[in-house]
Amino acid sequence: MLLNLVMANLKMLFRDRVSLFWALAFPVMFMGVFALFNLDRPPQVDLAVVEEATGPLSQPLRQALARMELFETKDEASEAEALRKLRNGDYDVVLVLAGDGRTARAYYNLANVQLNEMALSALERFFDEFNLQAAGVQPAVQLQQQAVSGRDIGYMDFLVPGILGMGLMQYAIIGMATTLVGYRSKRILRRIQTTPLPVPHFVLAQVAAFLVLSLLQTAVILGVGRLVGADLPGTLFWAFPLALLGNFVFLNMGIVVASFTNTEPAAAGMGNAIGLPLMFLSGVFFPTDQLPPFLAKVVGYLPLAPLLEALRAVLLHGEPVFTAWRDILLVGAWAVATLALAVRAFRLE
Amino acid sequence: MDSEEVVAVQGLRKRYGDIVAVDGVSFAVRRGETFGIVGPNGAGKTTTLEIIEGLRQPDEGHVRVLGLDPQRQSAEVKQRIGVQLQASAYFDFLTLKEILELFGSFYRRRLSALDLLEMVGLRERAGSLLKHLSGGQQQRFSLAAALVNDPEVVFLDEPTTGLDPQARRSLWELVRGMRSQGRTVILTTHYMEEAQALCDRVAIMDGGRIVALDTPDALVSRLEAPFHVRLHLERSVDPRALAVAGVVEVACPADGRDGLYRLQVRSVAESLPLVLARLQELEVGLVDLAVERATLEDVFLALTGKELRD
Repeated sequence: MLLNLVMANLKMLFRDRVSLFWALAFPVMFMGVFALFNLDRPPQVDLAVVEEATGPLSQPLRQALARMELFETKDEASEAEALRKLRNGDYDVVLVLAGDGRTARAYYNLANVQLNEMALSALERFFDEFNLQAAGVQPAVQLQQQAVSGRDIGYMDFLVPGILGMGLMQYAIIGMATTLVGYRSKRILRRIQTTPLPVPHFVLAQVAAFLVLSLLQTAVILGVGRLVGADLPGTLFWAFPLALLGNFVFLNMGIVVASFTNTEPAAAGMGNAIGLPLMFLSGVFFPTDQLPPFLAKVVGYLPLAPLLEALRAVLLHGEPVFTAWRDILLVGAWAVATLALAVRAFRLE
Repeated sequence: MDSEEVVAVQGLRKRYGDIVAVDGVSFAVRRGETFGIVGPNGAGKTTTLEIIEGLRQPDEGHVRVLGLDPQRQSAEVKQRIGVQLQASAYFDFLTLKEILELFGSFYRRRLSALDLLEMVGLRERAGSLLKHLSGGQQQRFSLAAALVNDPEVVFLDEPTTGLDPQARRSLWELVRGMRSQGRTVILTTHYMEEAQALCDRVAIMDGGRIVALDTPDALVSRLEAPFHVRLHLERSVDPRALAVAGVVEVACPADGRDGLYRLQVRSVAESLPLVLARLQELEVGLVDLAVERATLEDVFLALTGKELRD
């Protein structure tokens, strides 16, 4: 009896193209858009060089600039023209080598704090070295640098588990909430109540159908993630039980949302009001350690952040799933709490 | 209790906050009967029905359905009753056949989806979605859905509300069909002519109480003036002149046309000759004359002092 119902529910979910779009195409589009941005590309400073006269500085400066990947160098004949372009944002830094051969002036745009810092310190280092050499001073200490090769985690690698968590959450909360509100406002729940099928079984079958769909969602998002170049060395398998657990939490939240709203748009709105802040704060797009420490701590206890931690531990770092036991326990606690809340809040009318 | 009573209601009371929705309702429905609960919106019809179906708990009173308690033996009762809710929809993304099969799977005993669709004239729409059906077709479908478990008792809550006259008549045929299949039908309506056309017995509800319960005929016959004589005269006369013996009331239909009168009379045999004689005295020619039996509408008006029509 229940299996029939789960199958019927799945049929309905698949025939509902709009919501299927939100479940599958939407997260995939997100990944595609981020893949286009190529966020792993190193930063670049557009530098204009204005030489008022050719001096002893000219040759070594150009050699040094050519070696540094940070700079994209262009020559400008007039200082005024270069500064105008700096103001327009065509250049990040303008370097003027004065006619006396003893002064160099750097102009920069205040808007790009991080770029300025990198560009100015690179230029300072160059002039320091040039001055030391010119004075014939031997450096007292030589810093030797050596890179130790680790795995280079690209942004897409980081993003894909985030998108997975986001996709699961958004679809589960809003999909469940709007479905249930629809069933309630169209009196389908009442109609079910006139049959021998207990209404809780009916809701349970709905949850089961959404859980099955979440497995498909996981497969599609991870699959497309790999296609767009995410390198996920971990066992993909563990993403699925984690997806189920997280999805269960969000489905319960959807039931709660449905209980506090009366129309489908209201349910979608309230679902978004919960989902969007969670999405931006919980580390979908950037690590939570970039948040103010207090906020990061709070967000760490909300359901999405630990789910993402666990997903990344498994997918990104290839750790065995049990190393994320703390996060899994936290999500599990949310599962129990939201289930209790959903059962309490559920209403037929 | 009479074994032929499939539904028995005793002293039912239900209040929502300050509003008393059902205020001491008692009646019994016999097997095979089509029983109507009629009354205006807000009379307590739906609440009464939903208590009998086991969907709501009464504050007071007893209900037996097929000898069972719809609260404590609700699973068993639900196996054997069929329910059409007022303004309830079905799933958007399942076909008619799939919906009937799904609902059928909730029951021990079930009828074939295609047979049910055949019965309500929707066989060729078996693969359609509900939203592609007209209002009348949707309503016929919901009758089919109420029959998936081959129920002994069928509850229909306002089955024809919002339908055009043609769709309404086609639905009436289906309800008569249920009766001839031997099912007990309990329906609510606020259309008196519907109750008159379909029901063996009618309970008239107003303000949460049953104000009258009998066969439609008996209810009409019990009126002080069960007949109406409609007159169309050549010219207007003083209405008081028409109040001959046996005439309870003279009404001038308010459509502004002169010479139209409606007399409510105790007996046609007694009053009609007197009316005709009076017209001769007044030297007024008769354009048209019709004699009608009063309707449940008049019964409701007489009992409550209210017009039923909205």
